[in-house]
Amino acid sequence: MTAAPGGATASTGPRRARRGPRVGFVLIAVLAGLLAAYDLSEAVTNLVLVPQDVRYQNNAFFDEVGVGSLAASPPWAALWANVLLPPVAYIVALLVARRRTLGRAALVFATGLAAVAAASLSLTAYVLSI
Amino acid sequence: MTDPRPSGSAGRHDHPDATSSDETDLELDPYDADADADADADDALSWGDESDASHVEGPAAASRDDEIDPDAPQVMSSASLVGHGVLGGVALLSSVGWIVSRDQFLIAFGGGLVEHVQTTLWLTGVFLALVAPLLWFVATILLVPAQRSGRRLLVMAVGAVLLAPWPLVIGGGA
Repeated sequence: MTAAPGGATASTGPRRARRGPRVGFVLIAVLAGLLAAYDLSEAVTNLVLVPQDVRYQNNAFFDEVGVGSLAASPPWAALWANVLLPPVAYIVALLVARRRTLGRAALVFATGLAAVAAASLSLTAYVLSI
Repeated sequence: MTDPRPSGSAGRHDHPDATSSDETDLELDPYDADADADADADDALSWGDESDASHVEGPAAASRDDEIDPDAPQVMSSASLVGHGVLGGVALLSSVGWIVSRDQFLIAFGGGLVEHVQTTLWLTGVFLALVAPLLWFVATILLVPAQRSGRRLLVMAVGAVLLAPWPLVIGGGA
């Protein structure tokens, strides 16, 4: 299982190295990608689990009894925004960090991950507050 | 600059040392003053000396102008400076707000190895969230050139809205 990502990285390295010493950039990008993937997995977990919350499970019963106004729907917009946030931020960071020095590329990826983390916490707080 | 004058003087007077030296004295003095001024980075803009009637205050003012001039390409309008200050303060306060409300995010997932990795990743994210507004501000300063102060302020404003400590405002926890 670990051989496949290692091979992918090794095949990506020389392809970049042909255009210049960009191995450091690839390493930073892969590390940032892994952290972004963790953020994505958290968001997907929320997207799956939050709608299973008990307060969203009684809508059919509320409709049946005739108090449909009590029906609550999961905050789909916030949940999907939280899912879309990590990949979008990673792609934007990749585009911004391209053709920059290593330190600035690292700063771009760190800022992107930090923005995703803060915005995810905000979205989670919103989801939990309603 | 010095090439035409030696060739011209050599063309007119090769041997008479007195006239050539007189001419060079007459013509070289301003140029020598310029050369000294060029050598002195502080006096780069002082093209006259005390004998020039229009040049009374002289070197001090010129050197002050010269100290400002290297910054001239990066000088921004006062409105832009105020915007930088306000948005930098907002970023600082946002980070303070995140740090104040950090306790509600400090979660540990459990005792196993996977849970330890999960906890480490989660706390890394929390730490990044705490410093996110300041990181955004610094990255904007470093990555957007100062000439494009409008774009800079726009990016900073987006960060101020996106990275505000909303959990503190909303009151919900993670």
